[in-house]
Amino acid sequence: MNADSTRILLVEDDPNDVELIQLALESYNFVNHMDVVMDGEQALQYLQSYTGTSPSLTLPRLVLLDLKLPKIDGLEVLRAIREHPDTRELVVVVMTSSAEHRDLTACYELGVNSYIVKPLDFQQFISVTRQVGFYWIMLNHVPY
Amino acid sequence: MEFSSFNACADGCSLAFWLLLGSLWIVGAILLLVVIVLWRQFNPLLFNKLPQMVFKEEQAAATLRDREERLNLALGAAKMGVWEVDLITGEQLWSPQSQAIWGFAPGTFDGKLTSFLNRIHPDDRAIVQRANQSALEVGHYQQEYRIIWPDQSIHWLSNRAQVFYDATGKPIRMIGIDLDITDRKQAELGLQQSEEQYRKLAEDMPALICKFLPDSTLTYVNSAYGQYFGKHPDELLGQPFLNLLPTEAIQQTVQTHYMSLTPEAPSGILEHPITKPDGNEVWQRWINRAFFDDQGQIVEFQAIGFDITDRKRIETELRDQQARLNLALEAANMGIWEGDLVGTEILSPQAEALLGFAPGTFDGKRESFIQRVHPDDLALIRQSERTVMETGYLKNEFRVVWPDQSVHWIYSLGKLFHDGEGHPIRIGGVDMDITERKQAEQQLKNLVEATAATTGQNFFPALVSHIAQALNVGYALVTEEVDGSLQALAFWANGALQPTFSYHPAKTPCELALRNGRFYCECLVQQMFPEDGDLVQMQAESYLGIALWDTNGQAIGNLCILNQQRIPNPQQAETLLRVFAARATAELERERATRSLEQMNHTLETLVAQRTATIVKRTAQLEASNRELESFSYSVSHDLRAPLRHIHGFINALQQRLHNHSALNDPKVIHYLQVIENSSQKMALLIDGLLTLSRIGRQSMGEETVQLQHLVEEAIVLAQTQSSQAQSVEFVIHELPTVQGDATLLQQVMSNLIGNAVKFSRNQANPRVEIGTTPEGTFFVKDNGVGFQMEYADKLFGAFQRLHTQNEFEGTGIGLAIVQRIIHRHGGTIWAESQPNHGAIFYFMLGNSLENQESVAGMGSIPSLT
Repeated sequence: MNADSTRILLVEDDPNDVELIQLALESYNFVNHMDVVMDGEQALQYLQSYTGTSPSLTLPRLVLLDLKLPKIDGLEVLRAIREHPDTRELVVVVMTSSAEHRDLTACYELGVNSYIVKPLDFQQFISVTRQVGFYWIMLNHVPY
Repeated sequence: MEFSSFNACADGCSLAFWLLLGSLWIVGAILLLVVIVLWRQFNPLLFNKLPQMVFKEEQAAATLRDREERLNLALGAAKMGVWEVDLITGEQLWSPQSQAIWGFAPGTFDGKLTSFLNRIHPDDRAIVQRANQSALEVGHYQQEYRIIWPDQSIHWLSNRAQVFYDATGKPIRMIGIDLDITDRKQAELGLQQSEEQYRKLAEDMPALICKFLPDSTLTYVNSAYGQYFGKHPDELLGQPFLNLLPTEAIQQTVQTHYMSLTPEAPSGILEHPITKPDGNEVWQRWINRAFFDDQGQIVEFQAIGFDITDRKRIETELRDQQARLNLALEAANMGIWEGDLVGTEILSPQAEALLGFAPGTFDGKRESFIQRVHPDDLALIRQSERTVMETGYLKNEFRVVWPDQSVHWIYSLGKLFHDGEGHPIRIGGVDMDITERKQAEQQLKNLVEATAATTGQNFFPALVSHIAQALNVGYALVTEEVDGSLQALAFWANGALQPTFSYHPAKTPCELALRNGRFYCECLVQQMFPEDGDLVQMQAESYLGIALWDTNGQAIGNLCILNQQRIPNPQQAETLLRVFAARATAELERERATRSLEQMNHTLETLVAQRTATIVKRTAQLEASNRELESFSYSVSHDLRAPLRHIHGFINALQQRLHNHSALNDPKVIHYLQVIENSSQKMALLIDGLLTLSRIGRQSMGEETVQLQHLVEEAIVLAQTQSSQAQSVEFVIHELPTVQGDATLLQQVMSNLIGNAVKFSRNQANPRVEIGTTPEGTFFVKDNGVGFQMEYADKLFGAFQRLHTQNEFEGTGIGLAIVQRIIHRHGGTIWAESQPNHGAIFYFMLGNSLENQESVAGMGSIPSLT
């Protein structure tokens, strides 16, 4: 398995959030490319397309995953990622509006890499998003 | 009085002696005459002094010699001597026997008077001389006196003589005989001494001694006799003693008795009562002896008597006691036995009967007894044989098997007896038939065993069947009183359990049993209760009933037996019935309690089922509500925040876009953008507050020991970090207790209350916040801030309720609602007191139990949100 060293997959159904995240990351050159899918089903299809039959293609370096998603929610997506041998080690960071206790517990049980609550304040939001991107892409090492 | 006979009685030989002596005297007198005749006739031959006498015929001479020899023989045999004194010459002629009697060697007597006189005992010489003188006058002479032989031995002589006279009446010759009576005299003396001793003996004897003639005339009484009758012996002598006897019948008896004595059976014993002169009737025992003459005719009697009144009384008492004992033994069916230690045994007739022996057929062998013992009890008997030797006592209950194979229970009680030296010699005791008791015990045991194990429905049938059998009666009935009627719980009749029934107790024996606790009718019960048809049907004769009294003394039923004859052994029956009436009462009460418990249980179960259904429904509703609420707050936390974030984000993005744009020169544009941003932030705070409130109502609570002091200190530090104004506040913390509760939630309470106190006292010159407890244990947080009007106090704890404008004091109006919810979840209450500008005090108490308002709290959050 190979991973594009700077490609991010953003799973987010709210276009406003997509826009705000893109706004936060666009001026940063360590993100070469950001793929956006709007629900869980698309997310899984996206990932499947990089596994099995197409070994030449590489997985994204980082998945930013919202929990409240149409069709298949974020937790199911996370579970599918962790259950598939090809995607088991993928870095998944959950970014969501709220730190409900049961969500936190479920995510950690499924082996999330990080759980981030989106700050209400825009400046903080920008800052957190950039830090997440910087840390997981630039600093963190992955086995794949 | 002639006492010599008495001595003769004491010594049987004496009588014979006296008879002999008497005969001797008679013989002596005859002999004297013979001797004198012969003396005159044959004097020349005898003394060879008369040679002129010539016998011509040889035949005559031979005859004379023969007679002389015989005479000498007779004189010698009789120790008798013959002598002759010539009163004219004084010459004396003594036969050789006389010389021997006088202690002269044959032929040595010189015939002189002095020689004769010298031999006479000096004390007796005068007597002899006087007698001699008198003999010359009266013609004969008889004297007894002593002589002293040369060897100084004293001998008694009896001397008789005849004086012969010549024609002129002049005494010329005296012829006499000497008889040595020393033996007789000694015997006489001995007799006199003996007689004296016996007389003293008789006098000193405590026994009554008398002699009397056939007509009962007393000839002798001893002093005891006299004393006994309270008279001097002289008063009694010569009186017929029969007069002393109380009745003619007794007089007759006594006389008949002593007159019946014969030479062959000269003595006899008679016991009879007499009345003493003082009027007391006493008993005497007499030993009568008769004396007979030669012809066998009764001469005299002697009698020895004893007072046997005491003995008679004891005998009578003994007899009475024995009679009573026998009666008791018979009544108790008790037998007496006694055994030595070597296998011999004596049984009283009752004891024989107890062991199944026909009277008198027990052979006295212990082995025969052992053979009757039941084989299973042999070891017991053997053991007791050893035990009795150790303990001295024996106590056994064992069975014997009679020849007819019937088995009988014997209770045996015995004791070991010792001889004077303490060696065990025999064992004696009593046997008792306890078969009935054992049977009763067995019946009782059966009854107890049969009923002990059974309870409930099976108890009453078991009870009546066993009672009827144990008491051997036809009917047994146990009833329960239900609304004035008696409901049979079980009924035994004719050897089988019968169907139960119900009846009214009026005018039945059961009515009396119920009323009085007990009723017993020995017989004719039908006649006593003519209206009770059941008695007729049962052909009942007798009735015994015991009421079942519950613990309150109320009759709740009865237990009774009826019989077609009289009830056998009614006392035992009653005892048994009482015992089982108690048991039946307990059982009935238990059953009643069980029934009522079952009823209660049933009611309770129904109620529980209803309640459970309600609760299940409510719980389902509640769970649905909670789920709804949860998903609602989940949605709120996610979905309501996102737009706010977007508003905030895009306002910021817009401001960056408008950087250097002319629109920003318009202060209104700046203001509008600012309002939008502030409002979105305010909205975010409200949402967070609501979510907190909601979460506090739902989340599970810890229960731990919480130091309120620490919580307060942390809350103050927090307040001071969040607001610089808090640093100028004076905090007074009193001693605070330790409580049980959720530390996190209680931390929230303290933070909110202290935060409020700081906030609302910030306009004071010297803000002061005091935290402590009242003497009753109520917590309080007191400030000296703006306070509030008490009429709005009830609004304080409502969500979004504010008593100040946002401009005066910022806030969401959700803090106190959270505080109240947490206090409620701890089972406590919270309230506040204040006056405007005089500060406020918030009081709260924590309840004893937590969680009692959880559901209400959970539900309660909904109206706040809608």
